[in-house]
Amino acid sequence: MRSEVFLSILLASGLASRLAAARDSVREAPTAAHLQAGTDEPASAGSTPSPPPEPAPAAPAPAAPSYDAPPAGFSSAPPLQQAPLGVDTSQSFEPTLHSKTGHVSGFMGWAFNVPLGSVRDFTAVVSPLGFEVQILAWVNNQIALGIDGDWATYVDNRPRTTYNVENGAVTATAYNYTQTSSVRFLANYFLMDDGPVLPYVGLHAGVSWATFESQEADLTLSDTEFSFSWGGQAGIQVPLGRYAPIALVNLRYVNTPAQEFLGQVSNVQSLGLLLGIGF
Amino acid sequence: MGDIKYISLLAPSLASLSVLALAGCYAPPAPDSRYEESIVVTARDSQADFQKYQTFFVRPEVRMIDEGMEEGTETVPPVAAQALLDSTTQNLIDRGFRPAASKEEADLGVELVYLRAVYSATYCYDWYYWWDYYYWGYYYYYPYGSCDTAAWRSGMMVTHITDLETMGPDAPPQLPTTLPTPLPSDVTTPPATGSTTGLPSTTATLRKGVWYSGIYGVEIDSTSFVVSRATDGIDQAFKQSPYLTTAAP
Repeated sequence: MRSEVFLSILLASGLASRLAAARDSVREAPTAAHLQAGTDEPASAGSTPSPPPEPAPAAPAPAAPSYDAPPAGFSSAPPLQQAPLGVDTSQSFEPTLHSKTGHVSGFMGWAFNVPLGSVRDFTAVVSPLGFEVQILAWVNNQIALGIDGDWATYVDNRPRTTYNVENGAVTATAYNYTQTSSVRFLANYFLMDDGPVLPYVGLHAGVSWATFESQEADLTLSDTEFSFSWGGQAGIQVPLGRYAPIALVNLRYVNTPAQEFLGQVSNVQSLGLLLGIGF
Repeated sequence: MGDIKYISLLAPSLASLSVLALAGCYAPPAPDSRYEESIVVTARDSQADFQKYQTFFVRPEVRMIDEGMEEGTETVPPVAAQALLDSTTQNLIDRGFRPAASKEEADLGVELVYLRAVYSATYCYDWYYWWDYYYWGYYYYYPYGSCDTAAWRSGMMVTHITDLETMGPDAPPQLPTTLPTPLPSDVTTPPATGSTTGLPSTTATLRKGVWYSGIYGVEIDSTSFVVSRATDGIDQAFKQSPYLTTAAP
């Protein structure tokens, strides 16, 4: 029994000494700052007073052993870290760029349209009565293809004009109304693949319907024309936050070359400013 | 995190509201504003050959038609009517026509009628008209063709030019075989002279109309303003009818 107690005390004392040696080795293990400084001196370790740094000798003492020098017959081991380490704080955090490929974005917005071309002789005023819905699919981080539908209404009182009608003519102030509806395909190229503002340029092509109506006194003349449409666009997408929608500002030129009405309109062109919001 | 989301949604919401508010300030022009200026309508018989007519006769008074009074009993005061008659005569002379001493010697009969207060719908028909007032109404637009709507306006100066060569027993009335339904359907068309149905009598002597003008918007109270608008409208009616000219005699 006594021998068993003695053996236990002996083992316990041996383990205690080994644990103390292990603690000392951990305390003296090189830290990041230690490695950055190019010395094996440990960083300030808690309450343990560290001796003041001694001035560097003018020439290395030849007799001083170097712990970094490999033993004879061995090559030098690679450094633990190639690049200098920075301080791991939120200021130096750079988010990983996520691929947008395959993602789908949807936008809707209000459109202000300026009529251009011959339709300006029919309805000349800038119209805020426009609406657009747009869906984009990202091919990669800088190219998006999509489809959109938009509606725009123009209303204008035209100066007193003579209109020729069948077997006669009407001279009157005309109350003119034009409504356009379009479905088009979009292709946008984003100049930047990431950033607080994403500018882009693009092309579009599709089809458009335009309903023209002109009221002179009790006479109402109307027609609906169908045409191919094409044009270009430029704009910016502004992500408003990590979990917030994306603001869209889009400037678009549209040309529908085959929409005619009353000899006044030979084509419909417009410049539209879209202010939208999406995801 | 909840606060961050709230702030992020605030900006787009405010932007959307601003856009809607801006668009809401837009006020399209009212459709009725097109009546603020006078309207001049002209129509012609597409079969008429104006080159063959040489002379014309203008009825020397301007009848006034008012739905609330017995037709044909009131005329425009001569001081106002004369300016309108003179303007019409001068325009026809400028187009090469010569005034005739009487209607029997004229190729064309010209009459001015002022529709002061006419609200009812009436028939839409091919237009046969001269001295006999079988029709107390006139279709506003397209008096020569078929149509399916009829709209009447008050304060309209109408000028008729009819072909007097169609006058006489050898020129039977060429009424259309079918007449459109009166519009609106619940309006009772006032009976015309010689007829109790509102339709012209088939025994009446009818003249074929070849040209029509209507100047709408002359109903202002001031007589001088009415005359000014009407004479301007007469000039405009001829201006927009370049075909109304005769061949050199």
